[in-house]
Order: sequence, then C-alpha cells, then structure tokens
Amino acid sequence: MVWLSVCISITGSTRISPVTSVLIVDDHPSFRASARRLLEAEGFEVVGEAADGRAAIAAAQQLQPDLVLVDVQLPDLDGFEVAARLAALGLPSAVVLTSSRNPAEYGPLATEAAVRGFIPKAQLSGAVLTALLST
Amino acid sequence: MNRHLRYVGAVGGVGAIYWLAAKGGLQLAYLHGSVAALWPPVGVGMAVLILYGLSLWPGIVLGDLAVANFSQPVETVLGQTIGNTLEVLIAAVLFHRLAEGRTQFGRVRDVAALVAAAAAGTAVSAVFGTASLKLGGLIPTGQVGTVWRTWFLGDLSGALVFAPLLLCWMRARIGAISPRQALEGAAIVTLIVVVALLPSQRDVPYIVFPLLIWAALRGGPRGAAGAVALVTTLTVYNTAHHEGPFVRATITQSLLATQLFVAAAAVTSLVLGAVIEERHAALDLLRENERRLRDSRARIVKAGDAARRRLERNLHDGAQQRLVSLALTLRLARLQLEKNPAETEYLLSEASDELQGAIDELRELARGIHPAVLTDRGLGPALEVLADHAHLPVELTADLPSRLPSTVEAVVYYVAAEGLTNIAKYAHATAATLRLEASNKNVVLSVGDNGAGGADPRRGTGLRGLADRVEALGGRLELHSPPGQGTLLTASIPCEH
Repeated sequence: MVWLSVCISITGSTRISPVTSVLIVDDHPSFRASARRLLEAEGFEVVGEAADGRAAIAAAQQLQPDLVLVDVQLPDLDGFEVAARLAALGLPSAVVLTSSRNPAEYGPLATEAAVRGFIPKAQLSGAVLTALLST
Repeated sequence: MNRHLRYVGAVGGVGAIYWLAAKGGLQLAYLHGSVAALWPPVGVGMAVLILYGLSLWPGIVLGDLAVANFSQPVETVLGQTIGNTLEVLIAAVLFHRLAEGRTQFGRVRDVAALVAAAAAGTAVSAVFGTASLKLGGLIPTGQVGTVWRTWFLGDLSGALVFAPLLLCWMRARIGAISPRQALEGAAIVTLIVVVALLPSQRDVPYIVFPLLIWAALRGGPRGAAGAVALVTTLTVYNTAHHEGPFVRATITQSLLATQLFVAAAAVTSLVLGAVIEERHAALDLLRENERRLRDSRARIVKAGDAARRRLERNLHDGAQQRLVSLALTLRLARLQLEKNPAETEYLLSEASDELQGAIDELRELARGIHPAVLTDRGLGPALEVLADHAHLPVELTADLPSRLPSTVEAVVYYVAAEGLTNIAKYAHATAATLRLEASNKNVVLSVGDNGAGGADPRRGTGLRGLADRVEALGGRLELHSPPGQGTLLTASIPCEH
C-alpha cells in the first residue's frame, strides 16, 4: 500500500454527506456491476454509471455525486482528462482514479492529476475509498 | 492499301539508308574506291531490320543494287547482292535470337551474340562475293583467299561498329542526357578527333584506347558504341588517305592491319561498356533488394509491436477484467460472510466461474502466442489440432520425416493458421486442404480451398505479413486465386534438416 501515500493528493475541500454518492465510470460493464454491488454493500450510494469520458462529465454535472470513480483508460478521454475537465467545471465531486494497471505505469501523471487518489481495481473497497475521502 | 503503301515506303527508306551507308563506306575504301576496309551497310542494315522488322529486307536488295558496279557481269552483281542481303538477314535474325531480343548491349553475352551473328552473316556474304568475282573472272584464283578474308573482315568490322551504334542510339532519349554528360561526351569526341589528326600518333595506334575506355566507363554501351564508331571511321579514313599507323607497303597489308584494329577496338570497347552496364544493373538490383529488405524489416517490427499491443489489450480486456471482478466478488463475499451466508455461497460460486473464465482466456491467449503442441510435438500434430479446430472440414496431408528447425516450424504453422482463418473469413468454401511436404532441401506448405477465389494479395496486411515472415527465412509465398476456382496459398521455405 505504499502507492496510496504517494498517490493521494489534496485538491481542495470536499463536503462528505453521511451517505456518499458515487458515479462509476468504466467501459467494462462487468467492473461497473461488481463495483456497484461491492460499494452498495458497504453503504455507498451508486447514483450512476458511465461507459466513457464524455458521458461521465455529463452525468457528473447532472448528478453532482460526492465521488467520481474513473477508470484511467476509457474509449474517448482518459481518466486524467476527465478529472481535469471536472475540476475546470468547478464541480465539488472528488475524483478517484482506478485501473487494472499498476499506477506506477502512469508515473507522475497519477500524482499530478487533479484527483483525490488512485486505487488499483482489484483493491477497490468502501474502506479504502472512505480513507481517501477523509484525507 | 494504306498498309501496302506504308510498307513500300518503309522498304524504300531502308534502301535509301543502306545506299547512304554504302556511299559513306566507299568514301573509306582503298584501292581507287573499290575495296572497303570497313563496310558500314552491314551494320546499318542489321540495325534497321532488327529495329523495324525483318520484312523490310527487300530494301537491302534495292540499296545494294543501287551501289552495285554494273560494269561487272550481271551474274556477278546479282551474286554479290544475294550474298549481301543474306548476310544482313542472317546476322539480324541470329543476333535477335542470341541476344534474346535485347538491343542495348547491356550484357557481355549480347556483345558475344553480335560477334557470332555478324561473323556468320559476313562469312556467307564473303563466300557469295568472292565466288561471284571469281566466276565473273574478275579475280585470279590465287587471290581468292585474300579477297575472301578482306571481304569478311571488312563486313565484320562494319557490323561490329555500326550495328551497335545505331541500335544503341536510335532509341536513345537525347533529352535524358544531362548537360554534364553532353559536355563530357563533347570532350571525348574532341580528344578523339585531335588524337586521330595528330601526326605523332602515326606509330602508336593504341593512343586512342584510353579515350575508348573513358567513353565506355562513363557512357556504358552507348558511349562505347559512339566512341568506337568515331575512332574506327577516322582511322580507316586516315589509312585510305595514306596516313596514320596502319599504312603498310601493300594495300592488302594496310587493309588487314586496319581491319584487325577495328575489330579489336570494337569488341574490347563494347565488352567494357557491357560490363559497366552489368555493374549498374547489379547495383540497381542491390539497392532495390536493400529497399525491399528495409521495408520488410520495418513491417516485421511494426507487426511485432501491433501484436504486443493486441496481446496487452486482450490481457487487459479479458483475463484481467475477470480477475478484477473475482477480487471484488471475493471481497463482497467476505463482507457478507456473517450477515448473509446464503448470499456468500452464491458469490463464491460466481467467483469460481470468474476464475474458470480467466483460466480459459489465459489458455487461449497462450495458445495464440505459440501453441504448446507445436513446441512439444512438432508441426504434424500441431497442424492436426489446427485442422481439427477449423470451422470447415480440412483434409490434412503432412509428410514429415523429422522435426524441422523451430523458426521454420513456427512460420509454417503461422501460414497454415492464417490461411485457414482467411478461408473461414473470405473464401465461402465448404472444404479446405492442408498439405505439407518436406524434402531435404526445403519444406512446402500449401493451404487450399474450394471457395470463391479471386483473393487480392494486396488486401489488408495479413498476406503481406505472411510473405514477410516466409521471406525472412529465404522462402517464397505464392497466391493462386482465379475467380470461382478456389484459392491456393503456397509457402516454400529452404531448410536443411
């Protein structure tokens, strides 16, 4: 879990309501389904899903979730670009990137982006997300 | 009608050209203008018939009669004309045959063809000419041998000098000559003329050879032919006017000396020009091969990159996603363990399915990279598996005495796999054949089908990639795909085993 301390960066204050609302952005339906099931079981409210970057930005504007969980690799924009655009729009949502690749593959990108943190897909859990959001 | 008129005109034209060449030749004649050391009409007639068609031979008859000496008996005149016409025809036909239709003297064998063809033709003419003169009572018996030799060497020289000149230059694109080449050509011509006029070269005829070599080195066959024609014409002209290094005590001796010089200079220069041309051709071929090699190497590297990207993508989208799902499902199962054991059981069975899916996908992927059966059991069993898994019936014939080198096995397997995939995708076939034959020198794989045919070898990058792999091992890939008659893809790879 060394990467966590490296990857977490604080990008302004985010108000977290007692039930955290989440938007899941990933082009693999199987991951969206598994993540939704796990996060809902851990008390998160999954308010929406999106399969690509543009749909993610539209959904985030409409749903204003507390947290946007974005896969780095998407068919159109990549996760870093989605995070940058969301930040530019001034949305209050915290962005957490996820990938089945090793975050080290993205080098400084993973730490410099306007994101709250980076979670490898296989290590996704409500507890890790909560830890990230409370930093 | 028009065609006949054109033919008659062309015959007249050939006659006129031959006549002009003969008139020019007589300017070079010794002994009061009747014995020629160099007889240009042979070479000119040869070139014209080769370039414009053998059917124009009556022009040779007309031209020859036009310059004939009618103070001689008619039979003698006719005998010489028949001999001269046969000479040109025989030389033209033989040269065309021996040089395989080439007219540019780009190979040493083309020069040899010229020498052989000209010698055969001129020998016939010399026989007819000498016999006609003898029968007409114009030469004594004692001179028959000398006359034959003089006739033969004079005509041979004319053929060796003027046939290449016309053949090389009649079809040359003058516009393609660069100003620098023109300047260099002019310099060579000037120097040749200066050397020929130089009184001091009287005893050193070989002084022109450096110039002939220069012309051949820089100008190839064309430069050689041009320089030889100029050098020999000037030399013969000088000798006819009792100047230069070949003036001897008697005319017969002068003739022999000049003719041998002309023949030697012509053959040497033309051979050098041809060697230079062969070198250029070899260099061009080498460059072309190098370019093809570079292109294919780049394509192979690119194909390797693409394959790695595809592999990463497949791993990421396939097994990796399943394993991620599996991890999340297991985490959920642990979460539900206490609260909802029934749900946990369902989740665990789901996790087991995911795991099996991931294992299957990894196995498929590994097989796609390099089938284990190929490594373990060799090409025969690997092709059996391939044929077994195909989407249509495949008749397999594999005759392999032993294992092949692993690179050859891999490429043959790849051609078979790609060939069967292409058949499934495009051929609309109901049956396919896989045939593998190995001799001790090479291995031949053919993949055939009874489908639609008409496969385009330029379609996609698949076939190009196959050809690159086969050619990388020194082999050849051939596609035979007539529309409606199925497709046969054959790879032959040299392999000692």
